[in-house]
Amino acid sequence: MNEGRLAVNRLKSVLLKDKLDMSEGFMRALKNDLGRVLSYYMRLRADGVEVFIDGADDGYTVRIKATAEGIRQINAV
Amino acid sequence: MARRIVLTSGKGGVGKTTVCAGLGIALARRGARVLLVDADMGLNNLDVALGMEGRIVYDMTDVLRGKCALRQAVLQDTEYSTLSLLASSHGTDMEEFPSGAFRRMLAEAEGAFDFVLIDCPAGIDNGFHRAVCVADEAIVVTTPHVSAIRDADKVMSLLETYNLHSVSVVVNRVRGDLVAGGSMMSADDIARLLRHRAIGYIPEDDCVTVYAQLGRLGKGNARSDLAMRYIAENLISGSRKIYDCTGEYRGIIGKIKTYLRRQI
Repeated sequence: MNEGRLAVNRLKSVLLKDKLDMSEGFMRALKNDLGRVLSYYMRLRADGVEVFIDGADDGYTVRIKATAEGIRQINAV
Repeated sequence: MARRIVLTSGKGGVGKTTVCAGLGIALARRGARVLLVDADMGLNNLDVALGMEGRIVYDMTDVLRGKCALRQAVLQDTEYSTLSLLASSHGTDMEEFPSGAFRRMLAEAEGAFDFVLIDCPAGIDNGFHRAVCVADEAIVVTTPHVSAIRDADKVMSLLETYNLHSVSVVVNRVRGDLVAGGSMMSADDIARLLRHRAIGYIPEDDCVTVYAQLGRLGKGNARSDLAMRYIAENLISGSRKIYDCTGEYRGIIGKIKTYLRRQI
């Protein structure tokens, strides 16, 4: 990747952090909550949940990455 | 009714005053009646950029204090009769003048001009507010540097809280050789990241330095002057003519130019 592209990516990340204005604590709480909700449905691996937020033209793209070892059986009543 | 356009940036030193002066001249060249207003109280330099510093008798603070009429403080350019300047004074604390007084003063001038370009001070404090709240449109000037773009982005977020018709971007001091070689982000990238329409790109140009020290900005035929003329045309007609900063650095001749530029 050339320097120009690297600069664009760096700037993208700087602007996104400025806009989101999210503290580390907020991100941790978000990951914990997502992990808790997902674990009702799946057996998640211990490495937990990762959250990526990217800027898009019309807002933000939130990508959640979690690896599950299995799906929980849910008995619907 | 004049179009009131504030030129702002957030970060200082990006060439806001230079762009304001150059754009004013480019608009006047097309016959538009232009009033340049130096709202950068205390650190004003628009008069110097235009080479008018030796002709100022009254300035904006004299008008606001009631010492003279507005028409007495408006200076006409010697070369372009439709270009005028309302200068501000060095070392004046603008806090003594409320935004309302500034607005009323500009409202008085509006009828006589097609464009009122307001050179906003750097930063986002009261001076910024005073300059922006009298405008209908904003042009955010930035350079291709991360710190300048970051500040421009913050300013754009602030501008959303004002009732402006349009906010556009000018990317100043674009190094065409570096962009063409992929070593620097392009002006298109910057406008995209700032999520606002680019109204013009201005190449890095030694002529600006040379003409600025002579107070003859925008009066030559430099590449930057051509870029300014495109911006003026876009403002007047709503066209989307953008100066191609990388054009001269493409192809074999362009590669030689790039090589030579890096050797100097």
